[in-house]
Amino acid sequence: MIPVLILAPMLLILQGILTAGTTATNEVDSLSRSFEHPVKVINKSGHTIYGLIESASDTQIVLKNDVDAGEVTYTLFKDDIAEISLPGRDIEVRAYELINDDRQGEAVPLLTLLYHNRSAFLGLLSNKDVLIFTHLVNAYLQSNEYTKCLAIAQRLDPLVKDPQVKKFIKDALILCHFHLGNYAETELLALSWVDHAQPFYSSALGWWLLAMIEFSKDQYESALWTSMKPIVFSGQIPMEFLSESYAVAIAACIELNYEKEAATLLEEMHNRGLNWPDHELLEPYAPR
Amino acid sequence: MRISSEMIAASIGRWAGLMAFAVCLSNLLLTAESTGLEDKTLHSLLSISSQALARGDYAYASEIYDALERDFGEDAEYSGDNFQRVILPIRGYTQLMSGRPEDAIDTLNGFLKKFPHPDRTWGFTFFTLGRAHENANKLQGAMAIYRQFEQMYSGKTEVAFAILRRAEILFRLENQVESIQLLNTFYTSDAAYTLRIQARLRALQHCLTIEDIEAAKLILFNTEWSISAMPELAVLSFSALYMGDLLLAANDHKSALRCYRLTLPKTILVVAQEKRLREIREIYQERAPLIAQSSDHIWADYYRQLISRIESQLEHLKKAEDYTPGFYLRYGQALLLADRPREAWVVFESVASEEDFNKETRATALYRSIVAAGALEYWDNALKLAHHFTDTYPHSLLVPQAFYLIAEAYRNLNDYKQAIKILTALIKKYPKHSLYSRWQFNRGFCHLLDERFPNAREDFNHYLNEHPSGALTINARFWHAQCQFFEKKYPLALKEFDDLVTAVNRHPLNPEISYRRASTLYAMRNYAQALTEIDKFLNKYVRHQRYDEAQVLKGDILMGKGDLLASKKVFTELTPDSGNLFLYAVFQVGKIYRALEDYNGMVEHFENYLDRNDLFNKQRISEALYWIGWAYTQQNNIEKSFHIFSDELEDYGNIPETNEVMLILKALDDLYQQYRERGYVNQLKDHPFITAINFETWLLTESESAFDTGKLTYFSRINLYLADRLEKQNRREEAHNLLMEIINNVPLECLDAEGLGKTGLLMEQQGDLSAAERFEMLLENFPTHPQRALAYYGFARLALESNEFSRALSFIDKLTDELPGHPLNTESTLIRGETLIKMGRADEAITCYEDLLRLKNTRGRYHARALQGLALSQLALGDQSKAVAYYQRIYTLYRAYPELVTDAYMQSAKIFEAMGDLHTAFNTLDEMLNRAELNALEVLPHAQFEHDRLAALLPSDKNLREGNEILP
Repeated sequence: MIPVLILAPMLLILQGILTAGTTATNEVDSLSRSFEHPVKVINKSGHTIYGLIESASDTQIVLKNDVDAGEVTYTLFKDDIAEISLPGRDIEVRAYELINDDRQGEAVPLLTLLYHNRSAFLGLLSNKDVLIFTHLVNAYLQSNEYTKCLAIAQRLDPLVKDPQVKKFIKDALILCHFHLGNYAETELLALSWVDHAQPFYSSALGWWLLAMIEFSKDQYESALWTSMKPIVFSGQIPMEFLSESYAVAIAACIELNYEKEAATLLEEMHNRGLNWPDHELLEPYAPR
Repeated sequence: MRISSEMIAASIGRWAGLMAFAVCLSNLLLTAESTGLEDKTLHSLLSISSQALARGDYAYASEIYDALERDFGEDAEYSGDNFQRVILPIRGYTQLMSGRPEDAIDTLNGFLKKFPHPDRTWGFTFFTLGRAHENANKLQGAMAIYRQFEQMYSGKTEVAFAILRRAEILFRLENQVESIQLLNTFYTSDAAYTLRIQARLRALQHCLTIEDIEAAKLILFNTEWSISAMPELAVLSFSALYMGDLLLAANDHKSALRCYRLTLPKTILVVAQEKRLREIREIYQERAPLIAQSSDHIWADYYRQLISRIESQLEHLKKAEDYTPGFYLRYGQALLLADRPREAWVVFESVASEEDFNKETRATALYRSIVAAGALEYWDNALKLAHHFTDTYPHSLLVPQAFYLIAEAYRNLNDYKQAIKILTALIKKYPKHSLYSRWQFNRGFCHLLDERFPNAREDFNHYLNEHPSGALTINARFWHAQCQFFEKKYPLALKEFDDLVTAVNRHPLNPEISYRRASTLYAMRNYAQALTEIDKFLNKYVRHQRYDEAQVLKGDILMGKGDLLASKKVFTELTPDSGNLFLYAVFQVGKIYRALEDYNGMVEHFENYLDRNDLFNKQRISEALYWIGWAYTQQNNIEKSFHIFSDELEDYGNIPETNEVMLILKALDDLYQQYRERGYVNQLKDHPFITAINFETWLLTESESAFDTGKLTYFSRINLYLADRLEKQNRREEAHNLLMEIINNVPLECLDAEGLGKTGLLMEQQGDLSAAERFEMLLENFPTHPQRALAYYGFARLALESNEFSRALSFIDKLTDELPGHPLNTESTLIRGETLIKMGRADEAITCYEDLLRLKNTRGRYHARALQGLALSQLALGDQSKAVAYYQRIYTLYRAYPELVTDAYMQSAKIFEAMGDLHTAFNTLDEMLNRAELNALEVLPHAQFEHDRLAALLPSDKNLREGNEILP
């Protein structure tokens, strides 16, 4: 199990997203038909254009329209588009309904369907339209499907503008790289994360990951120092990945035969109500 | 349109909250805004009052209600019950809020008298009356009202407010304990978390006000402080900070840390408090309609007051100076004092590099990070940080302390000279500093560690003279006595320890003094008294850290006394828990068996040691095996000895850290002789060791086989042993070749201490400066090995060659001090003399050579070289006659050393010539050239040349040449 990221307030927490059953297949099938409807684009001159998507990318969309005389193709560039209205609004509405109704698991197939239909031209979408896919990132993260999660998060990263959502996407990216064993990439991202972090920050993610990488390379002394940073500055404000940081610090102390330090940290971890994290590398050091 | 009392009553029925009332009125009477109160109609005044209430202007609202009473008091509508039921509670409230509690009491009492049967507005009115009593300082009255309120509204959530007010009154009445009790009981009730946590926070504040720290600790550490739910974060943060400071000052570092963890730095606190304020406002906005419908606005009043209080706290917080830097420093200090230096270091490092903090704070943090690094014994880092500190803040008041920490770092890195240098500078520059006496003491201690005992004593004496009542007086006297001991001035040391025993009572050093006293008596071979003293120690200080050491000392004392069995008994009482002392005891028992010639016992003893399975790291195994083999040899059990030695060579011969290989080779050498002499025929007869023509052949075969199989350590050892053997047989070239084989074929990491030292010395003789690498490795890998003498000697020679005379002397000192029995001591004395001459200290060199001449065991070549040194010393002092006399003694008495003899002749001739005595110069060389035993020496051609040159300068007559006088 991986630690659950606390989403930005604007995102709904998708607890138990994959265990709550799935949307009925016939509902998905029926909703997916809405994609057969044409796209409506209003360009900056105020003209409205309808058409089915012939091809699309982050910078342009090609619409095809059958007219009596034959077929008309429109190529619209991002800079010329004032508003775009995509088919599948009812899917979006239904997905939000399910999420708000705490039936996140059932929302996943709908979100996936929506993503597959829009992923090619996410760059053309409004911020609000992009935001819905952060729920999908969170769902994959919680279900340990890191490759899928990484693919979507990488796609969303340059498009997301809101700082809190951006932070969520960045955190998801770094966690995916770590769990997929891309340590070089993780280290790079974690270093940048740490550079931008402040003491008393609300998350220890960057420090924890750096410490874990050091620990996995048997660099126990470095791992201990790195993990100490968030521990020392953690206080009243809840801090994500704090128990993980404690655990890696304790494991490093054990490896370095710093028994007293390990015992002090373990006692403090207990006093602060922090549980030993579920992580393969740290498991052998868990208190018995 | 005229407003009717029914309309007001109806609206109040819907909007019972004050704000709602105000809004309602203003909605109905939109056009009535006015500033003057004269000539206003009832409804216009009501409209104005509602607007005043809406903006929280209670004084103005109150003024309006007074005007209403004055102008419309007789009006039937105004004085009607419906109107009065609404207007009186609001009037009372505005009077209270505008600082007129006495008037409020009158108004509200009037209401209660007029409407004695509780209705929807009654509760609020009654509660407001309580508050009015409070503000009018009628505390007992207020208490009674709140109690009555609690009874009347039992089970309602609003009761909580009455309890909280009652707790406040109790505190004001100085009944703090009951107040705190009431708040704590309330905390455990079912009331809303927000109220419970407010009560808890108030209880904490009360505890701190009355300085009941223990009670405050209980509250602080046994409360679920939820940052996301509790309203007044700043109050908690400051209470925790204040308490942390109190606990830090009271040395309760662990508790202080827990407090500091509940403290937020200013920027974070402001953000968090603003967020909470926003949330509370939102809650209030959301609940306002519900509150209105509930017909009771005590909640609304609570929220308004809470919001107002938090706003005020935030304003103060923002305006106040940032407490964060000081908080961090104290937090770091608490970590440091709670024995968590690593975390302290992280905090201090962070503060030191925070550019927003002032210079003083950053300097203090950097200074403390040095302390933290020192506490972690990361001395290299401590040193770097300390230098960084003195470079960055050269004018800081902490500079002397920082330099002191630098000295401490050097001391811990065993660089005593640097430490002494810094301490000396501090002593000189800051004679009035509070740490001055400590510097003096510590410099003495550094001198002691650097084995410069006279200097150390001098410092301790200075300390004692200048600070006779100083905190370290006993320590200074103790270490002074220890210096005497290390200088082998045992009677002086004993006297000082005796004086200390008499002078000191109940000092932490008492056991140490007793132990050292016994140790001194042992060194003086006063075994009887030493035994009494050590027994005293063992009986008195059973838990002392030196207990095991004392037991070992007792064993040694008994051994010295000749009571071997008693000694054995003491040594065998030591267990593996004593670590190296246990190991020492094991081998001491071995020695006792050896002295008792109990070889069976010896074998059994060491076999038992080797069989032990309770040792974490069994050491000196090869040594134990050697002694087993040796014991068998003493019993003429050659076969067993041979097998043990042979197996040991196989198992340990190639491990650089084992020490016994040379001893085993020597033992095998002897065994071979015995075997040959006694002609045993047994199962060994076909072994290559026996079938070899001689032992040398076997060694050569072993060397070749070791080389072929890559056992390079073993290869080097065989070669070293063989070279030594050949050297003794004057087969120097062969010996040299064997050593060269080692140099050319064996990597440094495969060499043992002897290998590194001997090959290093050979390289040094050949002028190869890379010999230093071998000496360095020898000292690093084998810091306690006796053969480190080779490194000291080698370093001394290298230093002498590069004219680093002080360095050369320091290595010779080390050799002499640390390894007084090492054979290289004589060589090093000669080098010392040579160095002293080069340093212009020929008089000291003379003493050095004369000391050597007094030693009988250095007769022969060493004496001849000492004479050579004396001659050079005299030359350096300008006394050529004396120099010639020493040279003459060489070529007269030490004919066995031709190279020294020829040198003596040549130097004498040179001196005579310089003195203008060409005849004697010529004759000296002539004599030398006529000595047959010198004919083969390389120097002869040069001597012949000089001889011929002098001959040419002399008159042709033979007599003249020979210096005979020619009579006129």
